[in-house]
Amino acid sequence: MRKYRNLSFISFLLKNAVFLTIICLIMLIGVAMQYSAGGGHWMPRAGKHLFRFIVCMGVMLTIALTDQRFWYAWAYWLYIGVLFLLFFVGLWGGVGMGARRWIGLYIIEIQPSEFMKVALVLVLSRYYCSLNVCERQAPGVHITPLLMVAIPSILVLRQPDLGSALILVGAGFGVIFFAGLQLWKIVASFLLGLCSFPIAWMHLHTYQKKRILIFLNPDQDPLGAGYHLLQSKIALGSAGFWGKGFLKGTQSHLNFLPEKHTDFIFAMLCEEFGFLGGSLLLFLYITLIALSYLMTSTVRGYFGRLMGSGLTFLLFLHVFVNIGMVMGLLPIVGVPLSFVSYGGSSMLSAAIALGFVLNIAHYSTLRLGE
Amino acid sequence: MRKKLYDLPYRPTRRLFGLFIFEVFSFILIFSRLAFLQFWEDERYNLLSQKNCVRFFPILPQRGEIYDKNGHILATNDGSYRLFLENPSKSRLEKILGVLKTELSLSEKEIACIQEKSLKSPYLSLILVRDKLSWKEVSLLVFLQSTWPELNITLGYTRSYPYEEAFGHVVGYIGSSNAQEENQGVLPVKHPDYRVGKVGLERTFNSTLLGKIGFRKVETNAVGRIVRQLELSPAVSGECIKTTLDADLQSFVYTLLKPYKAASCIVIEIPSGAIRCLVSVPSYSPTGLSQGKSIDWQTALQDPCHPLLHRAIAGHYPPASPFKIVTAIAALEAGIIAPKETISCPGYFELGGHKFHCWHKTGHGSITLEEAICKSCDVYFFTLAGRLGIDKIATMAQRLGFGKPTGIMLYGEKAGLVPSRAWKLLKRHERWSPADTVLVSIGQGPILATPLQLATFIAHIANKGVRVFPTLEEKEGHSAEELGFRPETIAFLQRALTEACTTGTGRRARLEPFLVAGKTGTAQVRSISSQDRMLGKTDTRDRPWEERDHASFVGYIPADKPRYALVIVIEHGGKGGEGAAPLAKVVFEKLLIPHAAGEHA
Repeated sequence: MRKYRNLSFISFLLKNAVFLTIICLIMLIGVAMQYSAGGGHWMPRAGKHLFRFIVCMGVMLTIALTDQRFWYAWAYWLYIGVLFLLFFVGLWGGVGMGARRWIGLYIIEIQPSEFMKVALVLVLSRYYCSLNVCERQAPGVHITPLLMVAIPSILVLRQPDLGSALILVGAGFGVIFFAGLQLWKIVASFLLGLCSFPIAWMHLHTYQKKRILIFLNPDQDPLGAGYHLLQSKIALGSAGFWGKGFLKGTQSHLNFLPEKHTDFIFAMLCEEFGFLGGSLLLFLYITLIALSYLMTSTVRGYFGRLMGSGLTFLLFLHVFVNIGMVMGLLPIVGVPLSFVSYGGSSMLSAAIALGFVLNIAHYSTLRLGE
Repeated sequence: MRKKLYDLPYRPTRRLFGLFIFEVFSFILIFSRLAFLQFWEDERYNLLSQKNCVRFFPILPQRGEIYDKNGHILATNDGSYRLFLENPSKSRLEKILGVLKTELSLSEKEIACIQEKSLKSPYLSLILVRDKLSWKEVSLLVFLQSTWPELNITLGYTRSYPYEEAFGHVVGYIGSSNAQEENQGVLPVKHPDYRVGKVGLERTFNSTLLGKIGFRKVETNAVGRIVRQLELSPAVSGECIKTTLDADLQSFVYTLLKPYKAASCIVIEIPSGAIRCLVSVPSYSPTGLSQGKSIDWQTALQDPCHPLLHRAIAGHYPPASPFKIVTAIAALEAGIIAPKETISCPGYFELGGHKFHCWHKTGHGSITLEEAICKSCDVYFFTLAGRLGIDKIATMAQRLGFGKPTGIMLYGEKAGLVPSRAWKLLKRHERWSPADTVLVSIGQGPILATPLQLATFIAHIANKGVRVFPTLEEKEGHSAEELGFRPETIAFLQRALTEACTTGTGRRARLEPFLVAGKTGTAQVRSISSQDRMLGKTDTRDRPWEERDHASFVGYIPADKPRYALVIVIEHGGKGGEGAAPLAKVVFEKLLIPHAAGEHA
């Protein structure tokens, strides 16, 4: 095995200094918002958020510096492992907020659906990498990947967690698209999905149906199902350019804004720091995503290229869906804002994803799947 | 080593670039949405945000008090501590009620009522648990508040009337505003505890008594709990009102008249017009009505005597014999009769084949006007009516204040009725007949007057023909509007009225050593049929109560130097000289010899 790691740890950090700094800045904003959401206290969340981030940084760097061939070799097993956890959680998982999502491990609770997002990108890249050119052009080649996407998506949808299921489908299709599936087929399957919408509609939970209906007409039930969106829009709209000031958001501190420490944290940020704060966080995310693409586009290996594109797209999806739903551009489906929303699994999963992005940049000359 | 199949360049693939462009557009969309919300729609959302968390709580002013002329309180506010439950959650409500059940010994019924209220309106912020807490209970609840912050103890005020029924009608009562009052903007703010005066002085001086409402601007959180106070503007209490009424006299008169089913009494001071007493029986409990107690409302509404009717200002009665004074003035002023001229009374008056009887079966014989007033001879005035005609009588009646409100400013005052040719044609579609004139001349027939009109009328006479304006407001000075009668007419009438109360029908009102002037009245409720007359059943005392005559007395004291004018009307009280005049004497006694009056009460 040739040695591709031609950089020391220090020079690795230096090379990726901008990337890592942006992650740290986003996380710091997250800690500040958790501090504010806790009413100006480190307990119960802000301190834990910071601690978790330090752990996650460790995991991220470990993944980044682990030999890519190791991940290549273990990709299937990782996917199968997480899939098993998803089965497990579907049968015996802990119930929270009306959904069966968590596995309790005495000290921590994990949410396998978050890890499945990364594992799915990993396994799809591995699969396409193992094919040669002729096999890639074979007509039934995309059937296995579609199954790989469908099985966990259905499991997650049954939890029920519409947001994560949509992200899984989105990220999966992203990788398949990068792998060379013809655009018309994607469009066709999208149309097919649209046609099957009535069937899916029947299997949605009442609250999910309500959320979609409310997205179409948010003012129809301002105290009921439309409450989340309305209060979120009030928080955003009442802030103005400079915002109401740190710890001074009336919508969030007087508890009008629901889920302010998780899904609606962007609304809280905008309420307290206004257009300025919101734009700053958006700018940081955009830079992070752009840097990821830049790193990916210079990778020579097919495995790395696919994985990098997929994971960047995954990050984009999280940011876009979360902020979009907070603003009323998309239905409220419950997607966390990476590194800012409170939640260990979502932060760890985002850290692992970015760890892989760093990993492929680090092993940019490695050509797996040639 | 496997054959190299694929070599990737160090540049992005087309698909990667395409997706990147897609993402750039997505972010542009997000930015524009953010800017739209924060710059274009910010005003709307700012307002919504304010509406979310800023609330106004009105602070109600204390209603002004009402006093009598000596400073006795007629209407006041009783402060009491009340216990409310503030936004109790379902689970905590059960526990709190459990605690309160033992500490305040709440009954099962009260608990059920509170639970029903909390179920009925889950967003209701305050649920009343108990009113009028004792000091012991308040101190106990303040202690409990540390564990149960939902307990809210506030000082509230209820209107109360110390003299209760005695001042029921004249002071009135208050209540929540109705739709009509809301449209008129009687109250500046709608609030369940902000009350409007419904009748009496409470209504007349409502705007003065109301005061100015204050408010508390507070910040609340999503469940409605108050976080902090932003602004406070205190309430300004309503102004107090001093009236001309005499609480002592009024209660005395009320107890005097209370045994009668329905009666009223008015005392007016001369010449100021200050009303010292304005009693209407039966009365109601104004405290009970103000607090909306259903038992008080039920008795007030279901009593066949209609306690809610203010008889002194809204009771329509035939004025009866006192109206003979009006006929007499009309005749004297018109010069159709000389004071010494005699008219013969055979006991009846014949007009168009119909006999109009005098109350005295065998007639008074040949009498002068003075004797006619003194003995209340009907035939004498029938004869005058024949000579005068209705027009002159009606004009004189209107000049003396009949047929229109006196302007006392109490809600519900009736105008009475002075019939005329036009009135009869318009209302009854009949021509005026001389028989009508005959009846009107002795205050019977279609003519109607309120006790207050009678009181004002007699006050005019007592005041030597100078108009008296009845009022409940204590004020300096009074107008001196002459009614324009000849002094001889007034002097003659005063002499005749004094005589009536010395030797005539009103002699039972005489009070030594004072001279009393006055006229009794016996108003027929049902005319005496010729059959009854043949059987000698002219006395109505044997009839059922509803068909007996109304007894009234109209007069003033002292006759030589008038100070008080008085009217007493006893519904179905029989003859005026027997039913009303003795009561007038008791009231006169109370007025002029305060210490001696006690034994009659």
